[in-house]
Amino acid sequence: MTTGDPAWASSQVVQEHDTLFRLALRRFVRHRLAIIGVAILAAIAALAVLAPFLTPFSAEDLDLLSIRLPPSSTHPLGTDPLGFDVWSRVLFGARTSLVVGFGAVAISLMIGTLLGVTAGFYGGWIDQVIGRLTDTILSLPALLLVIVFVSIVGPSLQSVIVVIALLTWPGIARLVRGQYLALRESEFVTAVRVVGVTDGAIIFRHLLPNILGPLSVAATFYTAQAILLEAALSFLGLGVKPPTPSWGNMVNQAQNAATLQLLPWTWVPPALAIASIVLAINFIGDGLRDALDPRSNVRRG
Amino acid sequence: MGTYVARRILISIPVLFGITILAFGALSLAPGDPLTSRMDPELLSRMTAEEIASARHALGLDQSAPVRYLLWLGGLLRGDFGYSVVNQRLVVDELSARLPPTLLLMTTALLVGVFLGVAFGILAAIRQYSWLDYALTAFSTSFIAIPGFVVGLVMIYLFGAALKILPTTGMFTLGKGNSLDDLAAHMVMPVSLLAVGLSAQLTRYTRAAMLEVLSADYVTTARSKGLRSRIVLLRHAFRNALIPIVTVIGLTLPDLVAGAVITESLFGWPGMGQMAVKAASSRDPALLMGVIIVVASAVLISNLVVDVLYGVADPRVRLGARARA
Repeated sequence: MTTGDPAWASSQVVQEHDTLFRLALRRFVRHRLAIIGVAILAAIAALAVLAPFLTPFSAEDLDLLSIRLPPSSTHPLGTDPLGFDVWSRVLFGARTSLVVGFGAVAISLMIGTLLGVTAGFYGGWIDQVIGRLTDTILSLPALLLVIVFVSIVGPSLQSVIVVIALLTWPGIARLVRGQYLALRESEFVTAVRVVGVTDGAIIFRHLLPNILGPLSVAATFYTAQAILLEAALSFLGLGVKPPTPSWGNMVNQAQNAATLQLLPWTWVPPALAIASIVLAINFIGDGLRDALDPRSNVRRG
Repeated sequence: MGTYVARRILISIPVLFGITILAFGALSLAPGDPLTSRMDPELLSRMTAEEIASARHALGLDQSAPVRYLLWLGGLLRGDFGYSVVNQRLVVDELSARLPPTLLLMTTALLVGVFLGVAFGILAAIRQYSWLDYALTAFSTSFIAIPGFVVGLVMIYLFGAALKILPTTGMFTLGKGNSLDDLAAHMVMPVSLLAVGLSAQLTRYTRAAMLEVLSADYVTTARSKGLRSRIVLLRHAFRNALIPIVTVIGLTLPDLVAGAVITESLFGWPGMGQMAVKAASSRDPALLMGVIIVVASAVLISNLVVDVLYGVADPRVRLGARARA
């Protein structure tokens, strides 16, 4: 068999890719905090999916006869001043957080990757225009922009997702652009270009796989950020509105001094839930970065 | 140095224009008649239909979008931010009343946060893998993940409700005269909340930057020459670690503003953040745009200051070897 045999070459590439992937996986599994993060996230996801089977109450049913009840066997986490069952709202609130986190990041990845790829690959005035746009959005505090846009389109679960996505894509675009700027000068791009591969195929088939590592690390951190942003918005009363359950709007009730002091079971569980999901996702992000980024041989906290 | 600063200022001008276009776009998407946010509501309520139509024409609201944008921008340059529909007040008056408390809160928090973050980061780096390092790393990781409003509520619960040692709302105690002690007591919790968030981020980056510098050859050289370790740390290592640290401080400024929005609502601090939330929940477009433009300009100006500091910290930047980090 000669080295010029295409079948041989491609099997070699696949094997190489496989070992790289397995190497990264092994490094990830060895990252203790990342595994803890995966376990916490999996547990929260399971609770969210199985929510209807874990509680007899719906998250949006209010029972005016049982308000401000301390935890008991019927209400494991008690009830709030409106008569909502806190345990049910914590479970269904997990759905809100996960939908916002993953939904917003999915949209933001699409926009950010498309624009970043265009800017980085083509350069020139396209790059200038997209660059100024990302600079503008990045120079503003995201929370403030989200507040403005939510107040214009009206607060709802959908608008929160779309608005968070619209304001977080610039970070992804900037990352992708930087990677493409470096990659487009590499020799393998010249090589495939000589063979006559189209721009679209170069961008998506040949270059995109090269940046999946840093992109997935960034996406993980952005998911945590999106969940925090939703919680903060709902806490301020500008995000997901009751009766739709959200951990943020549950904690919002504690802005009332009496609830804060006398009914800790209404706000401590959702507050802990927000902190643990964000911590878990950040741990996973740290693990992914250490596993995928060959330069990060230093262990970072 | 002069041309360097001039270049940085020129670069931020298109960004500022971008912000006004974004703000104007958002303003025109807002529900309601744009006239209500351009005119004194009291006057408007006494006007006839023809007068309203002529006012609309005089303000150029019947023109095309680009013309309306230029007219709006012109008004902005003259300090005309329009009327707040909710407060029945000029937006400019509202902004100038709200800006000083926010600036006081944020500069104090920035100073405290930067000091703590840099000190913690250096300590963690020189005692790498000690219990102190682990404790500081745990501190920064958890405060990056725990949302500010949760930390704030716990603070109010502990120091305000349970121990009753600190006031929980406003800038001054009502009816007690506006003494400086009173102001300081009211500032403790909001400033700590903001400073803790900032120092959590900074600790992480300072530690990483210091570790990188401490393993450099010139630090080893300085040590082997027998220099005192304090001098090696401060003059040789920290001086170089300062460059990434300054960049990170600049990058966390928008976070600090976002944190101020939450902090002000939590502690009833009479500043811009609290006003932004009120304006948003009552959908007051002109007021919101005023906030956005003031905050954006503030962020741009501080970015500029950071860029200049960056030039001070790193002579290579001044000489134009690198345009941007």
